Amino acid sequence: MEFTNEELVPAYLPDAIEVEYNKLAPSYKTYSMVSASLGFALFSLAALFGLLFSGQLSGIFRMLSFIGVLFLLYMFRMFVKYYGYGKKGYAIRRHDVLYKSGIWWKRHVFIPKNRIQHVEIKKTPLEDVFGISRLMIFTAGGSGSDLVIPGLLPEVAERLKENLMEKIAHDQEE
Amino acid sequence: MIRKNSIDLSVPAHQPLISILVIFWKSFGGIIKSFWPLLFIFFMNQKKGNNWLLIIGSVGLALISFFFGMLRYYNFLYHISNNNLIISSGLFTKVTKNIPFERIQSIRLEQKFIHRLLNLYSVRIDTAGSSKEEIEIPALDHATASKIKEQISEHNRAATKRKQATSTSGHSVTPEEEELVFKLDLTDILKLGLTANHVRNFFIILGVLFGISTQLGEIDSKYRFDRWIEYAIDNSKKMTFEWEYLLIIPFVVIISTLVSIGISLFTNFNLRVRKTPTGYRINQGLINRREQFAPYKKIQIFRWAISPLRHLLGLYNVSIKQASSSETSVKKSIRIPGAPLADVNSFLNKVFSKASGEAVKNYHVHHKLLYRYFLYFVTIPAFVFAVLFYFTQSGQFFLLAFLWLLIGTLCLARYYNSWQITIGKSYLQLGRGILTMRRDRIFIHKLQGLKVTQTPYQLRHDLANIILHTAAGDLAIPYIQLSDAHEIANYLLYKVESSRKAWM
Repeated sequence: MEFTNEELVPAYLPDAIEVEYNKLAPSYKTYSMVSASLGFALFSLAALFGLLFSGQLSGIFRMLSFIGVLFLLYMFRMFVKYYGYGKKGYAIRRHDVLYKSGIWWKRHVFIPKNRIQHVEIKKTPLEDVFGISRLMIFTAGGSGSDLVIPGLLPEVAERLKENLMEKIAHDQEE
Repeated sequence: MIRKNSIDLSVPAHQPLISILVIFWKSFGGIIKSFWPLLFIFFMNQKKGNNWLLIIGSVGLALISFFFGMLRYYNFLYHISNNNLIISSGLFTKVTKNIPFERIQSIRLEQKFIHRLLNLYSVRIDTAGSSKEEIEIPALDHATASKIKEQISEHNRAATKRKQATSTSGHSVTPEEEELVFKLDLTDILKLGLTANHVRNFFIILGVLFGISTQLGEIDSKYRFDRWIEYAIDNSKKMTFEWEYLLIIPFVVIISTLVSIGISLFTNFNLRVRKTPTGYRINQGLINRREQFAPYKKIQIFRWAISPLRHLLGLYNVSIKQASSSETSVKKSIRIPGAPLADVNSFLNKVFSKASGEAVKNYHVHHKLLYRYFLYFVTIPAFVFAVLFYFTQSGQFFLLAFLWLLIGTLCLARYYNSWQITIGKSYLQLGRGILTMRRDRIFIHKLQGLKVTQTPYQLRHDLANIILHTAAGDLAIPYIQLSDAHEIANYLLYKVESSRKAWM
């Protein structure tokens, strides 16, 4: 490879934040709401039993306010999942993988392809029902630097994986 | 018997059938391990003739484990394709792992007891990121296991050979010559002891005393530490505050200083840092002699810090943070105390070659950091103290609220002013601190990934944080302008992606 070392002005580098992000599979929206509902159901049951047995829920007023609070929490959770879907997105560029998420707290993650250690495709039973899987990208940084792209159609996940693997192999040859 | 060269690794294959036993052993053993106290109690409480319940229970558990072991066996497939090891597994949650040969650092064939009985081997794979994740083929016959190992090491040997062939120029093999870079004399050690973190050392003494007293307390309860505290509290209740008590302060200071000097003497005695062709070698210690080694290629973060006390003497604490690795027992972080600035600079120039020394651009944290942190860390706690004062009418809380406001404001101003963000051609440097000024320098090409985050407040004001992931931990840049964040992120990504240098 010919060695080039031209000076680059940072302002003219391709921007990693303002790129076209791909949306996750539409079924991911329903999936995340269902999954959150299941989690919430478990949580509410635990709270219900806990409060019932400790005798905190005596009287109709307390019962109703308990249900009311749970309902509000649930609506909030659903809202987050519903709008969160539109805020999530991934992009695969020639040299890196980008992922963004967050309604109020925004997060953009950038993983250079040449720093990827290994890749996994994972599919929980629930994800299987919705016909989606997730791509997990591992690097040598702390666990904070690992990237999970959820809500991918299996063939998309497979294609992305192939793309990432190709780059690693290509990398090594130069 | 299968001949070695007839093994085809390119098609997904199950492990040998007998490995069901290994999987079964693992899961059943796991159940036994997590429930053994229960089982033990159950067993002990059994009346005679009631044992059938236990037997049925164990048999049932064993059957269930075996059943799931079988399912797990049938769902486990491995193969090699395009120099990738691909393992798919999972009963309910399906996982397909894709591990490129290039990223594999070591492969180990292991035999536990059960493996030895069945003459099987487990193949364990380590990558640079695999401390978080286990990559394993639990049970294979020797021929297949060693063929996998052979194929991977063969590939990686060839790759390193190619690499060496392309980069032979200028890389002559130097003999094992060592150059003394830095050493500590007895006076330096005394200085270090004098300026150590006495507060911390005081607590170390307390801890040691506590340890001794618990030991003694088992012999005679009058030595117990909680007795001492009770005694102290009882007495303090009886007596009113008198200025004479302040005499205890010099006493504590003297003891702490003596202990600090002692600690410094024991740990830093004869500290020598030598530069070798492959890395730094650090020897130190009076009684327990310790040798540490920091290979150049493993160095991820170079940190130098100076506390106000040490500032008087101009002595820096240097720590070198390394990528952890499973193959060698390299310590993750190596500390060199008491280096003068000149030595720190020569260190820096050696670790980061001289050409990289010049800064390309400096950035600043935004002054809105002041407003936000003032709210979170100064106003809100002070407000809480004020409320407490209001309800208790106790002057202590008023004093606390006042002091918090005063000291908090000073600390915050100092923190804000201390921030330095420098980006060089090949390095990035961050400096910050309230009392102790810390500076971190990293090679840009050793970054593993980065993140740009925004809180709702930052979103409204076009601000952002950057989090930098290295193999030795994360660094954060808070509250910079969004446009700066873009610029930095883009530049760093460009640098990492265009770099051909190994990060480890």
